[in-house]
Amino acid sequence: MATMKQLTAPLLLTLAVTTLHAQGDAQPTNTLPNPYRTIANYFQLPQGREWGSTSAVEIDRDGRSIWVAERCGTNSCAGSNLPSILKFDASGKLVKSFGAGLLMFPHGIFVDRDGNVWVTDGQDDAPRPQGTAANTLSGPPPGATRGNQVFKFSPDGKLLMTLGTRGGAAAPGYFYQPNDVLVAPNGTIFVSEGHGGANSRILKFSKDGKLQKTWGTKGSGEGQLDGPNALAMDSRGRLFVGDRSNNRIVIFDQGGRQLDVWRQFSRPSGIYIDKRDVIYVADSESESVSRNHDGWKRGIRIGSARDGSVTAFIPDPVEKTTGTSAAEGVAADVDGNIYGAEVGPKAVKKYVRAQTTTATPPTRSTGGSAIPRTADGRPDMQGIWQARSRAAYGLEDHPAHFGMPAGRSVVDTTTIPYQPWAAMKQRENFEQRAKADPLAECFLPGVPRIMYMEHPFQIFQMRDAVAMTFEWQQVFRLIYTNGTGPSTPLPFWMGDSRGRWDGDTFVVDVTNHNDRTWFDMAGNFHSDALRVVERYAMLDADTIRYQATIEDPKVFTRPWTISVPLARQKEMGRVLEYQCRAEMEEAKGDFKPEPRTWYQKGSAPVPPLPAEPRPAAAAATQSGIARTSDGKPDLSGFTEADAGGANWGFEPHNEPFTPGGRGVLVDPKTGGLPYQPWARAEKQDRTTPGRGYDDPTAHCFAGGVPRSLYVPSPFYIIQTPTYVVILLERMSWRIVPLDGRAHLPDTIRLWQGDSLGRWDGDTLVVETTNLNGKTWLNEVGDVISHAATVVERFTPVSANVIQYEATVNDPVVFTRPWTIAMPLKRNPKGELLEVACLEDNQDLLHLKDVKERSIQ
Amino acid sequence: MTRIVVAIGVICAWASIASAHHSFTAEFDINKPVKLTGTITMVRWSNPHGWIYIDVKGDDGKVTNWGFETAAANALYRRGTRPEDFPVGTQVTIDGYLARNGTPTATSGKLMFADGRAITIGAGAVAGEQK
Repeated sequence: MATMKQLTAPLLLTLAVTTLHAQGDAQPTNTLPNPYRTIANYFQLPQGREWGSTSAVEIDRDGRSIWVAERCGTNSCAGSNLPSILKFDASGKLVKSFGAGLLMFPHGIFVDRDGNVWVTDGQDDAPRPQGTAANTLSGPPPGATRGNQVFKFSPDGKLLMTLGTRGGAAAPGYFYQPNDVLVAPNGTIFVSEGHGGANSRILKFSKDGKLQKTWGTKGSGEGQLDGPNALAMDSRGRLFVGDRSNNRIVIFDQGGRQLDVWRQFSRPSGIYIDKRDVIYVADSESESVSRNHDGWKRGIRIGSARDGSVTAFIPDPVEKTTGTSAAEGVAADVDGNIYGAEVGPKAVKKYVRAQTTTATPPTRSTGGSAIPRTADGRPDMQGIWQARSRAAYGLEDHPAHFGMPAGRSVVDTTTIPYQPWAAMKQRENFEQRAKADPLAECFLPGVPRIMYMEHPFQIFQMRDAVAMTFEWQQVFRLIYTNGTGPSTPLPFWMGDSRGRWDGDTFVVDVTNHNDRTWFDMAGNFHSDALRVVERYAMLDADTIRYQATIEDPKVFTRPWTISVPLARQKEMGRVLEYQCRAEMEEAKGDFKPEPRTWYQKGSAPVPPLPAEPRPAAAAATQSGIARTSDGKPDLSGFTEADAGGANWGFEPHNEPFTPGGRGVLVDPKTGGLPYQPWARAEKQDRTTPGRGYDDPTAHCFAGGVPRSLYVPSPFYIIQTPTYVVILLERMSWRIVPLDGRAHLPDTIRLWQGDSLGRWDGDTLVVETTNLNGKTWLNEVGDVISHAATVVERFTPVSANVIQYEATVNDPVVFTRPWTIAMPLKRNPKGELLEVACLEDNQDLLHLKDVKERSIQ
Repeated sequence: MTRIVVAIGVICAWASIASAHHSFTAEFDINKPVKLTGTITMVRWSNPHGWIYIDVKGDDGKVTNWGFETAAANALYRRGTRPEDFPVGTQVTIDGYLARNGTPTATSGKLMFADGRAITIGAGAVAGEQK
């Protein structure tokens, strides 16, 4: 014992486990360390193809490429013409595929020392009425024409050899339900068969396919097998058989003599042994399919094929389920990366050692379609995108309803794995969707729904942040990529998004969801325990594969994944606005037109007022300001206006019950705003209580230009060589192209107008036209109309101060142009939150009461 | 309607009782300051303003549920206030001004706990407001 105490703990553990397996009745090996990190969705299928069930995964002769046999998007290739045998390079890119129309149910795969690919086809196509006791058969039922065979392909996919009869044959004509195949170094072929049928045996063939020997009958005794699911061979030539339904590995010599029985690797669906005799065993059924193996956790156990020790365990992230879950097939490449092929979740996952921080170094795409890249080598996703999918109507397969076209499932599990109560709740949501859908009130759609809503959005990439600006309700997403996590515990409609690059894939972790958003119009929903992991992969210059893995243990039985293609939108030139709530209130008569300021189609253009000499602008100090790599002043980041109370008046003011103001009007210097008489009277009228209702911001509509910058809410500036984008915390945005384009046609009018920018030395000059004339300039009712042109100047004067000026030239409202000025203060530590103004706008009801009383 | 205690008197000038999103003078009446004591029944941590509801017993013994509008959730958060600072059931005193529409609604200034602690919960002191 004294000697034992000097041993290190891991070695003790190893010894303990080794001792246990020798005792026959092993204790569950559930608590071993998991030094692996999971990479879901590592492998890229062609556009439009979705993962089906997989249990067959293998490493190519080169040690790094990965072969997968996949069941054609579902759990069977019957009736499909998709190639089921797929080869991926080490970066996860599909490089070869074949086998279309040949296999029904690819189950096991093996690459021999010559690089040939062997695949078993584990089912047949015999008609099998429900309830038929197929499990009693030792051969296929009558009528089978395909399946139950083993195929050998050349590395290029040429069929070299077929073992077995089409559709299968009872013993001795083999096979029925062949599970796995293995070719020994000397060319001897082993096949294990029996997957619920009355047979369970190992078949041994010579190199040229002649049956030499079989052993094993169905049962649990010595020399018996029950569903031998997997085959592997160690460096000593011992044949490892995954005797799944007996919850054990049985080790034979190549003549069929039993050498050992191991139970410490749990219930084996898949076994892989690498060149160094590291053994990987996949358990996909304990405590779920199999109730006779409770207490053992599903997952991948890693250990030694030499001494039987178990040293690591990658648990199934799904705790409780009833079906097959986690990997059924397993393989490991020469670098020790593990690949798990999953039947239930329909996925192939990669597991890398966690200390390898960059398991997938950025890989340039080799051959195939090139994707654009940013200066720092990342895929360049910038531009306008639009989902090409019916997912927004319903994520699952659904027929058409009024206002809801039919669509196919975009979910990897085909149907969403709801808990029973939640499935009932979803049906209720569906029935009530006309009123219960949060979008019926124009609330923020949440993530992932906003991504596939068929409204265009634009992506902007900076080093520390990626921004997405959506047409719908001018929602935006600001995704920090600076290594930080959520800074508040608060729930938000759009969640909290933090992104990182995993090779060429942009991965976003979205947390802090509220429980009010839906996934689609069909009422699919979640709780506030939702976590969404998004993956954006550019397949070519014009396609992004968007995937969102949904985890919500309060609502679902296990994680599931949405997959939707995003297509580059080349027609629009810019993202326009769909201000859902404003359009709804205008349509209902809750927000009434004001003909004196609103744009009306067909009205003649109003010539601008003669320009006034511009007051001397603040000059940029040439030193101390941040600059971008192209030498321009860097305006980007979290910013707040030092607004001088501009939202309550541009002139100095100090009335009770209103924030005071120092006055921001710099031109004219005296006399206040140079109103035309009608507009001065209108401004006065707007200050009466009955008009408070008419301020668009009281309705939560967009603030317009320039007001959005000096309302008391911060904003975040995104800056790229060709765009400046202002993300406003009140959930609206302004996009300023710097590419010299022309303004929009006169008839397109927007709440935030059409802004174009250019650099004048160190000053960003932004000209905004195409305003809709629906906004107010502030809470005290200063007037602006559709005819206004607003010229803003952003001049950095020190590291964190930008001097801001806005000159308004509005010939409908004023007698001359005027200018306000204020500093904008950057705060590198600030983070934008979310103001979902519509969520609880009780003020509007009060203001409506006041308005109606004043009218009476 | 329940008679309420309306404290007309020295209301210190709240330098910045202001809304981020709508006119205060339109919605609330500066001539009707109010100071009420009651028990918190609900806290809505929301936008564009939060709300704290308290049950207030009138002189006639009748209980009325009053809603006090607070600053926006983000503004409260950036000031260091947290949703859990206001447990339901706590007795508090809130001062503010009555809504013009005659409902038991008011905008808020300060919230005071029975032990004397006070938190400014009203709109104001948010970015951009200056005296």
